Amino acid sequence: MAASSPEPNLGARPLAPHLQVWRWHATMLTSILNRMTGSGLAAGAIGVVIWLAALAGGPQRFVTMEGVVRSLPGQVILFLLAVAAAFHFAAGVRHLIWDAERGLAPHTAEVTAWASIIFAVLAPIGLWALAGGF
Amino acid sequence: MSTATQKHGTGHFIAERVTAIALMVLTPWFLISLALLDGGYDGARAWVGQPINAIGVGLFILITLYHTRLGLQVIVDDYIGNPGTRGILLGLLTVLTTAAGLISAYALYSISFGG
Repeated sequence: MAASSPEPNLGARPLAPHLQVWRWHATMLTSILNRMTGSGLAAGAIGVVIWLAALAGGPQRFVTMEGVVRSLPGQVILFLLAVAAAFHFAAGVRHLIWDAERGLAPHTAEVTAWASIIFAVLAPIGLWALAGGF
Repeated sequence: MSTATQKHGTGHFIAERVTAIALMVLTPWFLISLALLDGGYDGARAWVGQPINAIGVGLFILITLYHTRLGLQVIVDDYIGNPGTRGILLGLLTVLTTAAGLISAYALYSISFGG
């Protein structure tokens, strides 16, 4: 920049606060987690389509698909997808409540953020219990 | 080129929420049904073979794909600055979700009427 610039204090101005200087809040985590779980669930949706296609494809294809799902890596991925689904569900409920102009106070938002994290862990455990254990 | 959500913001907002509310009913129903499902292939065929379940599964998958399309579109709009790349990704998104929907519809049709 030329010295004759009309901008004062060039190079000596404070920088805008960036992500790393903010105190950490659960609401920040849940905000980005909603996006991340949503993206992950896109893969989960493709998984449901594969499940249905295998079911339509006959017993052999279904057994092959079931073998993959029931393997240890398959169960880990399935559990993580269930966690993502439960979290995204809770985040969706929070968004609908916010749309009604409720629950927006910082403390309330913090409490519901933690509640959605806890729900995201408990709901899949309940689902696995329904299915007859891990 | 403008982003797709730029000119259809209200419709996008409403569609995202209407599909979300539908999925708040359909997703727990589908996951709990699947968790309770027994009998491997035959059990699953019998369950999806019930018309009410076939309709439920069809709605669950199609609404999920539409909601996925809406959500991923926002992510593409937010993070992809180059209009050409953005257009290609959004087109790809439409093609993939439509293909997944057609595959599901065909699978459901063949389970229900294929014998």
